[in-house]
Amino acid sequence: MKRHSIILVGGPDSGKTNYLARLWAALRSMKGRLVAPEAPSDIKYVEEALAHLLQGEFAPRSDTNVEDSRRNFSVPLALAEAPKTPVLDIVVPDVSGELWRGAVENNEIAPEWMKELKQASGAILFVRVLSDLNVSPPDWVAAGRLMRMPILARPAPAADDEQQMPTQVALCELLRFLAITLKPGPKGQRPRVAVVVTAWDLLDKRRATAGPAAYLHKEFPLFSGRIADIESLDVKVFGVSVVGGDLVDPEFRNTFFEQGLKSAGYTCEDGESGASVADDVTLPVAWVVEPFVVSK
Amino acid sequence: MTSHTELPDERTPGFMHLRLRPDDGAPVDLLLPDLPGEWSTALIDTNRTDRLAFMKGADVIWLMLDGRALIEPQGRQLALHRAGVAMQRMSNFLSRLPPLIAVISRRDLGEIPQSALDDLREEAERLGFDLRVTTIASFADNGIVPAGTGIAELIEATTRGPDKPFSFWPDPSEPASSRMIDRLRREA
Repeated sequence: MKRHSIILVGGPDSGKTNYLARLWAALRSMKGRLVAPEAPSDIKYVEEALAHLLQGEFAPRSDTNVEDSRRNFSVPLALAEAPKTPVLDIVVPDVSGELWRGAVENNEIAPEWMKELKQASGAILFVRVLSDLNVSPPDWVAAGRLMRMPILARPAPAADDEQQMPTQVALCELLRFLAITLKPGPKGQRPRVAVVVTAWDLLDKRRATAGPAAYLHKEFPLFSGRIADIESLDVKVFGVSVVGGDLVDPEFRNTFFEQGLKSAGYTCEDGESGASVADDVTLPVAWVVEPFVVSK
Repeated sequence: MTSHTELPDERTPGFMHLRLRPDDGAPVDLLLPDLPGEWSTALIDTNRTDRLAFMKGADVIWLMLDGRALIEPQGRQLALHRAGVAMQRMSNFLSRLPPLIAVISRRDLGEIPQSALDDLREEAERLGFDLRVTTIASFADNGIVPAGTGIAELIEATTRGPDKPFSFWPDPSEPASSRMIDRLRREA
């Protein structure tokens, strides 16, 4: 059985670890497009992250236990049609968001992670809806007016803020890293990158039904344009909610405690007849590994 | 409260041998290993089975579950998940799956919702286990359920054998039938 590596890419607070924890639970449940016929030996890292979700809270970024433990998650995968026959073994290195932010800001990445990138067969690029750490680009229409009226202008930003790169620029840079490093598919196909918009449940109904590609186009137009333009990668956008609601909401928490993860979490993807929602969070990974499964 | 099981040598489980003589019938010997909880954690998180080889000879396995975690809504899903992974590890590790009894503690603190027990049974069935669930109370904190409640039922369920009807001519291809022959040899 061939091993493939899928790398999770995204800035801090973009939802990588929570997605990985939820993915493990979904693979174990044997109810998604992809299933895990057997449990990998070392699941300490994902179990720690999943413990947070199952107790009604998202895995915190500052949890040193999670940060310190081994960040590779390796799992044999099978298709739902033949759940007992693993078709490939994927390794998912979950790199801290700070590493990616440093890579984008300084254009430097540690050699071991560069090696991981070069060995990766595909990637999942994360961006979270309404993250406090998302940096919006300057609004030149309003900014221009304010610049003419210094008294109304906001105080000068702190030194840290000055250096913050808008999220959509950082996403374009991460996509560039992936375009340079990812291996082509078994038949020379373009490497696949799933762009996963996490916390999809936080969107209002109108924006959610418009679909993930429309969301990116509205919120991150530069990145959306880059996705449409890039020729060296095969990119598809997904919207994912790992538990299907906000665990801060007491009503949702109570429902979640009663039902668990059985019907919690979904993936939204664009189709020919508009956006569709499926109760299966394995779909982005299934799409990324599809060329490797088909080629077997 | 009794303290956690601490062993001077980490690789040596404590065993308790109990010979029980029912009012009518032959005596029953119970050999109960008392393992540190860390061993179960290591089994779940890192699939460490080297020191659990003796489990392959068990006639019945008790899966001890903390009733407090199952009673509280916030801890219930995690407790069920960890129990599920523990069963998955055992089903991979044991070549023959003995009857499994989920022993849920702290019956004195409250009832476990039926939906949680159903989830546990569904997971056990998926993994090939013949699961029975029993609740016990080692303490009597609420003053209503006396300490020791459920222990007799647990031992009765352990010694009476599986719920499945006895097969007079067992299928020789099933691994369990070879154990019966072993027993016959020992007793002959």
